[in-house]
Amino acid sequence: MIAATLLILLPWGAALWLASRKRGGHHFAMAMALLEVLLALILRFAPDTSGATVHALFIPYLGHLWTLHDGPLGSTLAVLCALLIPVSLIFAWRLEEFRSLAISILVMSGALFGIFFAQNVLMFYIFYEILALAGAFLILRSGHRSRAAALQFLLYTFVGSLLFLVALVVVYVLHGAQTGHYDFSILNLADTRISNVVGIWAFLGMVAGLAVKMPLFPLHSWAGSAYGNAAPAGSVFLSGAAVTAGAYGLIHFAIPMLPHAAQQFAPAGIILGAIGTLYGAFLALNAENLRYFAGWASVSHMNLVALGLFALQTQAIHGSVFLLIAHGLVSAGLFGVVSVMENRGLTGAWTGLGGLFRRTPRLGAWMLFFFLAGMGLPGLANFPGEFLSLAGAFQVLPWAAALATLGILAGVIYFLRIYERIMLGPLNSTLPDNLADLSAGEWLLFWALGLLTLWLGLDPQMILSHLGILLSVHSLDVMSGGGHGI
Amino acid sequence: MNEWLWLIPGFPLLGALLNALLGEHFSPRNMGRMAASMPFLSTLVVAAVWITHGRDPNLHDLVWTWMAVGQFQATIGFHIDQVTLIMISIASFVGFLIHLFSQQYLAGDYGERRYYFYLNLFVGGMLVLTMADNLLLLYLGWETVGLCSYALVAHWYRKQENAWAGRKAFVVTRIGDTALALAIFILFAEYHTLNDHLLFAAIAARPDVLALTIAGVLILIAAIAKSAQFPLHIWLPDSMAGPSTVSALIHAATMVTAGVYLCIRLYPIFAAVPGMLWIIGLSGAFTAFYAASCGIAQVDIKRVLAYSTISQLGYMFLGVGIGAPSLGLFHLLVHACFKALLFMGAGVVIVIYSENHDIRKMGGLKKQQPFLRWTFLAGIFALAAVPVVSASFYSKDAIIETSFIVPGGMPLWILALLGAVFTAIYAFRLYFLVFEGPEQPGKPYQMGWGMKIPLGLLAIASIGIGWLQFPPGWPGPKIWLPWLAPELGMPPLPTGGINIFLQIAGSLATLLGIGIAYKAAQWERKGQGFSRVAFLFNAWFFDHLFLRIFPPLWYALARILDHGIEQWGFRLAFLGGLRDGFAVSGNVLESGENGLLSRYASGMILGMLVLLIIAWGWL
Repeated sequence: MIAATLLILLPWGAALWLASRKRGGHHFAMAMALLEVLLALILRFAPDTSGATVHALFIPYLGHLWTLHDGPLGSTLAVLCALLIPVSLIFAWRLEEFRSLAISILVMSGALFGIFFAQNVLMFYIFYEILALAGAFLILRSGHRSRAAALQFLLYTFVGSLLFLVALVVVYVLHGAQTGHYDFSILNLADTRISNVVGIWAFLGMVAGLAVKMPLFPLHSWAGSAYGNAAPAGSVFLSGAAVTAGAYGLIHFAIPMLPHAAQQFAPAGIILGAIGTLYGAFLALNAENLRYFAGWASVSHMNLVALGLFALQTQAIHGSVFLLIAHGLVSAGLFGVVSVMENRGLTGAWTGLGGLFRRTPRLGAWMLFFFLAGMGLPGLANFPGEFLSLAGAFQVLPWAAALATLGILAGVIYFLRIYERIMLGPLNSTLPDNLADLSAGEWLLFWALGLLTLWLGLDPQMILSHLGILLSVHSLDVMSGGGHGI
Repeated sequence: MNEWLWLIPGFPLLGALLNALLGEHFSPRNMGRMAASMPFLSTLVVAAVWITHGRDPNLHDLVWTWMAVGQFQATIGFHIDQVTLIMISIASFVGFLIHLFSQQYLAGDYGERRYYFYLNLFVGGMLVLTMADNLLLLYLGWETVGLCSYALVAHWYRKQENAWAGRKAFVVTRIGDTALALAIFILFAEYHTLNDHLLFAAIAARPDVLALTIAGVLILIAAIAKSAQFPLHIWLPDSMAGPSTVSALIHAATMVTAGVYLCIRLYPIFAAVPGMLWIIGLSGAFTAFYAASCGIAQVDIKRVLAYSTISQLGYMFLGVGIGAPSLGLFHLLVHACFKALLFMGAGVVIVIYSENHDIRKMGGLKKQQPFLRWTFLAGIFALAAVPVVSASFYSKDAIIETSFIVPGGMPLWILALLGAVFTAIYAFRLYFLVFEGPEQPGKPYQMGWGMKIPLGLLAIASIGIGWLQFPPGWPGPKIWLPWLAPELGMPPLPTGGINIFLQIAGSLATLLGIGIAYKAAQWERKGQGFSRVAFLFNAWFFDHLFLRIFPPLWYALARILDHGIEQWGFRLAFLGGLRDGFAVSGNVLESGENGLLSRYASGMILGMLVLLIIAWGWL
């Protein structure tokens, strides 16, 4: 578990060092990123660490504040996040604001690793706040430098997580009153007896705090301006990695703490997820430029993740977690394409585009690839996740799942329409003459992301089988039997 | 276990992968040769299946577990039985012929490598679709061929309308894909398996009529969309924007038959719901009649063939609907041969006339292109079902005749017979206008052996392949139906006097149509032919109607949600007004978005306090 501690603290140290420098630091940041990937892979695949727990920093009434636990879900998500660090750094390589982007991404990744390995809910909460701060910093210091967007993001997540904290304290106090033993460890809190009404309110508070990050439908409004204002290279990490924190918090903390409230919330969660899936799809169709488009596509997919989570059904929750991971890759590809285009001076406004395939066939091919992955083409990564989520949710609430299934149709409409606007048709005469196709580095990066996407699509079992033990206990049948998984 | 079955789809998929990985380093010429060799290798493997297990094929190959969560099991697994063997023979062999034909036809075009990538991927996807042993893998093939159809229709992407046509094809067929996904959800929720054989066993043991009815309707929608049946046929005529070879392979021989294949494969589901089969038959018979009536008024050579494809697919659905899926499959095979031939021939005609598709501007081509003329005529014979000497006479007419004797079949028979008259009209009208009459000079064009061999082979098949199954009472082989009987059962066939009456009626319909076609061609040259009937020329105005209604509604909904809900609802109503909440934030925020945040924050904090108080009260 030294690896886990290192994984969390190393990027923060690196960020500090970067912040102390005036310029440069590209190679240092990249080296750190690759080191993180290596550490995450070791944690995920080393045979002996899984299930191990580390305790430190005992504080009376709070428990061991530094409790790390290496679970299958956390370590898998950690690999995804670690992979996205170098990816977003490469897309940001030529940007002026590379250093501030790299700093915020490193801080965010450290916070994310803390979230994925935390076993103490208070520790989770602290890391969650750090993540929100770093995310706001990223939105603020990159791209359009929009303070409004950053502040909106911050307020949404802060206020949401305050609600989470309140709900958490309620559970904590109840647990302490029942047992006389005050502790924030999830293992203890999961055994709290809570009346139905309090449970529902507490669960709503937790959903407000966690689902806002995904973002679930009525809490999604920060996403439009955040993705529209942050540099796409930053959005790669923001949409691919940072949003997983909310879903992870729901699976690992909120649902095990309040399983019965979660069951009662299930229909509402499925319906909100279904609405959000279609809502995101329609807003993507009407997006004013490419950044917003990729952002709304991400929102649509994350609502499908929420739908699968809240269904509390074996297939659905597996599909949901798989889609979470797949969405990380696909969203990285989508924002990567946006980033590549912006590096070439193409702002992404539709009027300045059209017929681009003629100039940049490699970019066109990869754009189509990630668009296809985004619309859930079987054989690519999103499909197993989408299909399992929907098939599972269909058994719980058929009509809502059927509504969300219309997303299959909506997906093809918005992705292909945008693709046609950018790539097909006659060449737009306003395009610059010296438009370069993908460089060798970008080409290789897209190949790497693309092959991973294809691999996940064809062999999802690689991840699904690993998650099996953890997630099956979240399904409705097991929970109503009284057990709940952590 | 036959661990080599995966080679059949594996070769073309490998070809596509090699093309994507290494294509840039080779000339389009060499990529074309590599691409063409892949379906050829698949054909060899299929031939090996025929030789070793042709009599009663029942092969299985489990490659790996795709997804397994709880009861949800989906494998990458292939299965070959009689129906599949026919389908993969068509997909691989006709696929190979069209790859071969493309070598000369597409030479020097832009995007040649891209063309071969998608063509290979398509053949691979079609083979996966037909060989899949479970519904989810079938869905993978189903979507893959849909993607390839999109990319190949939009192949000449530099014209806006081609790109639009490709998108239309993908979007309309995805309506069906959505329905298919829903059907799979229902079947899984009800029977907890997606494997074909386990599913059919479960349905036989415990038929849940309500679930099966909904699933059946959804599957039918999927099939209708993919096979371009009324009313979701609207994408097929526009998809003619792609190269003619693409139309031959995807929009005639293989992909559009996937819907028919799906109905044959999932026949037990339809059979378990009373009345469902008759609806399939009605849908098929009506489409056959409707599309044929549109075909007689078209002036674009490829649109004639497109409506003809819609119509012929209707006859296949009719075959399934009247309880004769093996006849439907027979016509599928026959149609694959003659329609691929006609589309490739039409492609050459279009090149000769410098990309002009208007058949009124053509004529007398028989002198310049005798080989093309005779092969094309063979295809026309098969299309019109000329008695005795064309393959369709034994497949299509058998379907029409059988529809007469099944219960409730009279209206279907009338529609189908009217459709047959129209079919003969548009088929021979096309032939007379292009190859007979006064000569309209075109570019000289010399077909190489790579083009002549596919046309020649398909022409022979268009005439002779029907002799696999002679009607009852006739001398000659009757192989087809008994061979399929273990899987699909023996269809009812008319015998005796009624059979003679029906055959004469069918033959007269064809001959009548040819007679009208002769006059129709003359009228058309004088500028007063069927093409002046706007109702038929515009395909009863259905396309216009749909395009007026659905896309504008969809886009309007997107705008309403964006401007109405997102901009006004969430940004303003929820977050609006700053100053009253936090005066401080005024200088923190930029103008324009003033105040949104703080009002939101104050609202949230207020809500949180309320929540706290409530919680406090309960504690």
